[in-house]
Amino acid sequence: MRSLRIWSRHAPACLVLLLLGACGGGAGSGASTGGPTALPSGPNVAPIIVDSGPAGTVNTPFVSVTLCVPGTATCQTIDHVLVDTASSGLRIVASVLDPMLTLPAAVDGAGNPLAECVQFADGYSFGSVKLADIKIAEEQASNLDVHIIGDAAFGSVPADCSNIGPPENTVQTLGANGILGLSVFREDCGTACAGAAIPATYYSCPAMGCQSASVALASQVQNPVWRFPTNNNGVIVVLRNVDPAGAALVAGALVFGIDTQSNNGLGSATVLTVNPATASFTTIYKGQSLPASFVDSGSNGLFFTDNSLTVCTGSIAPGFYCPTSLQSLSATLQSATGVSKNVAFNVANAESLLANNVTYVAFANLAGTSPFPATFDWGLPFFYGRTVFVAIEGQNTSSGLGPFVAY
Amino acid sequence: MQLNLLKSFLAVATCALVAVPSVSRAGLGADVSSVEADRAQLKATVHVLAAPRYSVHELQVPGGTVVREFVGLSGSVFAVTWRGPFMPDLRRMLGVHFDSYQSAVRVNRTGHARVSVLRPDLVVHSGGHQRAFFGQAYLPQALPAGVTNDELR
Repeated sequence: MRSLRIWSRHAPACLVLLLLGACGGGAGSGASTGGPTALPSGPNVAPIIVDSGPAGTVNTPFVSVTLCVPGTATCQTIDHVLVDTASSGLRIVASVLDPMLTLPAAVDGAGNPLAECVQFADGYSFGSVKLADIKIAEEQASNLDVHIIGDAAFGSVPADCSNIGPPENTVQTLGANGILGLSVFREDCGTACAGAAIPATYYSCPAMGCQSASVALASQVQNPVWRFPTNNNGVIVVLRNVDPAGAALVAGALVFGIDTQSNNGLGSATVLTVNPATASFTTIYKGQSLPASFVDSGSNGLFFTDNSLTVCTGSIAPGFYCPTSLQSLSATLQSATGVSKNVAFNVANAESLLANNVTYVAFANLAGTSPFPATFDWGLPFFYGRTVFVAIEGQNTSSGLGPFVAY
Repeated sequence: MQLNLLKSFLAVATCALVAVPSVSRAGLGADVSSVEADRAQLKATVHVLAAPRYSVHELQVPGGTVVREFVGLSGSVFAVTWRGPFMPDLRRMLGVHFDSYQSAVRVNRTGHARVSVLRPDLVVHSGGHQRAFFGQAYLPQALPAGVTNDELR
């Protein structure tokens, strides 16, 4: 029996030096079709795949990313890096890096190496900050600050970091070989960490041990996209439709740039400006206004509060919804400036979805309870069959400055 | 040999039992006086709001996150909530329940933006993403009569 936790179905990580896209797609039975009529292609497009990944997850979109020792041709392509529109920065689990890829440490003004504790709602990842040239599709960013999770560089995890929750320092606990954070923010922490040493964020790590430290914006872990020379104002996530029963594999595309090329136009998409501090917008659902809503490709369901929906009682999908029949629902997404757009969605019985075909890992009708009533987390099911734009703060587009999301 | 081991185990266990009252407790289940310790530890400012069945001690911690500790008329903390750009010190906020929270999360992950732990003795909901976190933790068996988790914001 499988469940909605990360179950162990290990796939080998691809560790091939100087070989781009070593692991990746491949059609299989149960592959989804439909949705956007044709996936975009071009030098600014990286293929996305939704499969069970290295940790046996559901509704998790992956891309491959190449890291190089700055200024050299010593590179490694890492497959199965989670595409996450709700965080910023590239993070790679240290264990998947080839020892030959010796990335230089990012250092503070005194020459001490930097480390970071990145916070998630369900735990933390700790490790050093390093510099790398990175390449995704044909887009490149040089000397980028990236986070190497779970490396042995600094021994023990600072207490304020491990006090947040359980560790996510391995492929198994992270659910991926790394995370490619492509949110509306340029840096992961931003001005708060530049102005003060915030607990459980950045550390300066001289030999005597790591101390909480403030870190200038330019030295924080960066959303790679705004550091690309071109196509640097945001990304588009395009995913195929998924049948109601689910799919074993979903193809998609990660497109760089918004309205900068012939393949990344906004078209008729509705632009929703988001809160510049929190990246949130308002969802109107069943008459309730939910101001802390967000779009998150890294969430594997739609998460919201609806006391009329039955919550699963078994151990397969705790906290998910298990209605006896398919529920057809709708909500309205609304920006701070009053622009709104409707979304229709379905909620199926999560336990039935998972039990019906054990090879399926993509489910468009998977939803669960929210930890907080004032929010609607538009997770990966929202992305299936859609073209979703995420514009970065301060970056110009044909529809004005980011931050915004559009679909 | 086995007997000796058992003896030393009992000795350790006895010590642990004796030691408990002197351990500084904080967070869920702790005495109201622990709120002051939390304030000092978290370098927070505190603001107390009174409600008929409990008081709310609101701590503003550096970085902007607001933590609220709910204290019943019995004088103990039965719930905590948080909202803000950074996760709070959950080890401190959950107190003696932090370890069972961690164990429950490990087997119940659903992506990084949400976790719910539903146990008879402990409920924790944690959600959000970089720069916008929120959550609620409470002891179901310690909720004052007539208080529902919906009002614990």
